[in-house]
Amino acid sequence: MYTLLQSTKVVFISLAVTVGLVSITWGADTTDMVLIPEGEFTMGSKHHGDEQPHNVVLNAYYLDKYEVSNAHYRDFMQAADHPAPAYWDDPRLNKPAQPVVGVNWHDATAYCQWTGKRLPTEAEWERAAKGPDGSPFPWGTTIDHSRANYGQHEGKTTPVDSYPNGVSGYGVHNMAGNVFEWVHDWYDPHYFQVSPALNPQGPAAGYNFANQGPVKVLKGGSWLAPETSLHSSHRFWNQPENNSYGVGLGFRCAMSAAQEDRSIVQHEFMGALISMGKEQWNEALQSIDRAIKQDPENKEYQQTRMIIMQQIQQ
Amino acid sequence: MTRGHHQSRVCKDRTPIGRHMLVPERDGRRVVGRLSLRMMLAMALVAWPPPSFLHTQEVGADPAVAPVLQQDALQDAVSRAGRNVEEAWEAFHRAALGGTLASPAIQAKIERDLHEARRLLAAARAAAQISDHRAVSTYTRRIEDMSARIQHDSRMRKP
Repeated sequence: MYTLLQSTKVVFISLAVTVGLVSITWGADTTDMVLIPEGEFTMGSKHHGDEQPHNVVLNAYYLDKYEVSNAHYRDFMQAADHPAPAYWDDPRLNKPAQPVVGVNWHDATAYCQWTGKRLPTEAEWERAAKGPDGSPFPWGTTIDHSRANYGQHEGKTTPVDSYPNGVSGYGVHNMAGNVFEWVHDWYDPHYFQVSPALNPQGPAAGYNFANQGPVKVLKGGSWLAPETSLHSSHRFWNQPENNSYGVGLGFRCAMSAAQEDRSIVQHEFMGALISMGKEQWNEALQSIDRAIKQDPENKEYQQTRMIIMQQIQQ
Repeated sequence: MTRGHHQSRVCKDRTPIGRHMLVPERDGRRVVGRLSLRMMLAMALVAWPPPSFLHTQEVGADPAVAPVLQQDALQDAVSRAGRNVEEAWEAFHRAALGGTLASPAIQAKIERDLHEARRLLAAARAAAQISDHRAVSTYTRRIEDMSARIQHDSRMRKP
């Protein structure tokens, strides 16, 4: 039944979108992201006790090809009125193409959400770094300064698309060196001994080390770090609210492949509503049929289709 | 007159010694008491204060100089302690930026120790201001030990 309330809702939404009052992110943009297919890998290494090797299976996901740059972060700051991070005015570090640094975990999370994405889990990050071959460094087995920015060799961060020789087997840049990268997971040195094999998300809560507060995992090493911090399994940490020692601390974003599909469905549904507001019933029917095809069990979509059909038949 | 026999008589020598002392004769040599003139001159040279450029200053020897020297020594000790804290901080900072600390628990311990070392340094400076030698010595010794521990802990590697 096409009630007055429903019709009002449809008119309001379509009007709001038409005049630009509402900016709808139809789905996260997968430009400059790489698709990491569903699969299994060996997470961890024999380097340290907190990196116990274990098998992990991950669903398919997208990962940003590059660390988030100052240019992109500026867009976020302006659009979301988000404060500038530490070192924003440091001329060594604030060129548009360089990775943003000095961000805490909450800054990184907020940015990723603004783009319709999220932070990668530690497992997702590490698999993308190791590549299909599971190599200890993104490019292979040995490290040198032609592959990555580390050990203060450059004296600063380098552009996010630098070091083409250091790209991982999945095509991701700077997974070793340049900046340490926040991931989703809390840090626990024993987690690898007990983590689930399928899509591990990290411990449910952080461990409160010496009453200093729980810490999140950092991956990848930075322009300041020695080579011992650069292998793909290396784990470091920081409090999520802390950007101390952040002169080499940044991030990149991820997105579930299933999430991307979900965004497409929502896009189609919104399209149907807008067409309904314009009384373009045939276009509305096409949009809602595409949404139902992706999500056949969705009752709201089915009710909306019924309304559209009633209008067409009148 | 026999050898070794002493006879006291008024000395006719016009030197101050000769005038004011009995100068017995012995073997024809003028002797004052049991000492020869030669020996007396030697003793006088030893006892006489040498020129200042030959003299190393003793603490307390010159009241005007001693307090300045003591204050300099205290400031030196505090400066050394300050350098210890700085070096400890740099070792920790390098490890934190480089991701090489052994564990979050070690990091928390180091940060507490750094905080304490800085507190002790402030206390040492205050003690030096009032010339409290004992306090300065105690604080700077503790700072040295703590700084060494921080550097050691900062260089520990993950197991």
